[in-house]
Amino acid sequence: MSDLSILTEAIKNGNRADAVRLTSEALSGGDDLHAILAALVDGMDDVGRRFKSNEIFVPEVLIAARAMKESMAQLEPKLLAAGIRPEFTAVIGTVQGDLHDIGKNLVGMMWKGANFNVVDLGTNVSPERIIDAVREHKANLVGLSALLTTTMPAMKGAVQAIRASGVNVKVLVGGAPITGDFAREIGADGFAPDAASAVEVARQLVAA
Amino acid sequence: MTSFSRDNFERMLQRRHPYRLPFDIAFTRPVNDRVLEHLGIGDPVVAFDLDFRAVAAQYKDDVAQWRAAYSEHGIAIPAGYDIGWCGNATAPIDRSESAQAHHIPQTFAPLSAISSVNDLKSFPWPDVQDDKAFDHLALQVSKIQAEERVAMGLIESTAFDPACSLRGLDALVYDLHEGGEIGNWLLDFFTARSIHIVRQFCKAGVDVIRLGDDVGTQRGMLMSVDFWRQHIKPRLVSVIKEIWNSQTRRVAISYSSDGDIRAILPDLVDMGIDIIRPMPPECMPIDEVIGQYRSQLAFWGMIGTQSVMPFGTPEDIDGQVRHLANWVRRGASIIVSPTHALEPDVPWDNVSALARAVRNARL
Repeated sequence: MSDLSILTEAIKNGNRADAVRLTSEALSGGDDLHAILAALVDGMDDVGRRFKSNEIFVPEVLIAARAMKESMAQLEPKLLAAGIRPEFTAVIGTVQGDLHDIGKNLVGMMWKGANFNVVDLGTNVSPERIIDAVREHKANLVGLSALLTTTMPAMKGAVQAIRASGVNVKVLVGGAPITGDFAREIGADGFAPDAASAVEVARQLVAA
Repeated sequence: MTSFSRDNFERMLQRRHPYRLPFDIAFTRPVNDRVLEHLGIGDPVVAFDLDFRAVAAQYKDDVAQWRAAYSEHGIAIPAGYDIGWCGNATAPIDRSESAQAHHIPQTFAPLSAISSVNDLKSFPWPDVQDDKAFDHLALQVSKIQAEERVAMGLIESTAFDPACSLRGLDALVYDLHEGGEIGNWLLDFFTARSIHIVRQFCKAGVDVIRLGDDVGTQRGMLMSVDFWRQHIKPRLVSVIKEIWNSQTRRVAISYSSDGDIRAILPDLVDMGIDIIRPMPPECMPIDEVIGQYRSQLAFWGMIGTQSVMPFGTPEDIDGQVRHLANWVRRGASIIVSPTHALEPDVPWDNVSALARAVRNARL
């Protein structure tokens, strides 16, 4: 049995070489797959907490997320072979007309780090593409991002279209000009002011 | 009114009884069309009697060479994307009335997968010292100043932003974190370009040079202050030193970053920055910042494009301008401007209310 807390530390520090090596060693040492996954997720949870409290910034999150991604590349085939899949699937995108992606990408990374299956539709995404992706991937959650005030109506339109389509999915919104009041007004299920909060809110929404 | 623009701007910067609030505003094309429709004048600087006109370098680049180099390296540029100076790849902006984002193109980072500096160097990098890019500058500046308007040299993507555009934020961050040469080479290349541009701006006699890179976010710095000090600050310092060395009379230096950059304001003051912009009130407590730095910095912007411009009333805008004028009476140095180019969701009444409020403000 490995000391998986060292793997968690490697993720927290964004040390990808150590993270990949320790994941590989844990796998070849026969560690429980759930425990390895939990060690990785714990690392990213810590990254999210420190990002939220401004102890670390976007570069550190990107670096930790890369360590997580490369470790998951080792772990994922074993998880799939054992029939273990992420419990929840999230579709994420920046709303139609908006081309900003840093915030959306950070949320996607944090959700992957929290072991969500994340389907990233990119930027300038139409409501139809979101609904199609929700159906195709049987998603539990949709994340919508907007940075421009001009695209806030597009976010409202996307939420309305999702509701009208009848798909059973929770919708979380965020982005620079978005507020909790606006999220409620347009009928979203949740609002997150930053990427770390998006993990907490997403977990609450899919558990509800 | 414009006959006092330069003098008034200088008085404002020196806190020496300015006559009125200097005013700047940038429009997206649909709003520009509305200016023409409502005022019958196509040039917003004239229509709103703005105090500033911009000048910039006009580098020419061999786009075909860049396309060939991308092809040679197996880099697939998305269909329909334009290639610009230094191989920048952007989607054409949707200019239709129904489009929602008029000032920001979709970008593709063509150099994200390059793995060695030698590969990087093999691209057809233009000569940043090419003086042909500045042939127009002296005449343009003298015309602006003959109108008594303020000539501002724009180079707001000084080093970090253009490096990000080519390499991608994530790859650039990995480079810099791991001491990789690629990120540093790109930052150095664009710093050298900026140094040459500011030298030419000074030679042409501009009144203000607007430097900048977007290093802030809605809730704080994009990167840690240590990271900024290590990778960005020294390059910015070298550009500022070039301004000091090249200026034949005092050129004001502005630094622009979206978001909340309070954490680096003490550094920017030490480095000799004169003006901070755009001071978005949705991200920064502007009264706190002005109160703290009013003897060291001038402040340009502060009319929120995420709040009061699209969602406020003309009275709200008038109140915000009066508030800023009050700061001038308390010794602050203020240039009023929306914090970003106005998008089509801004009501026309708010645009005209802003112009009216600025011109009616008592100092």
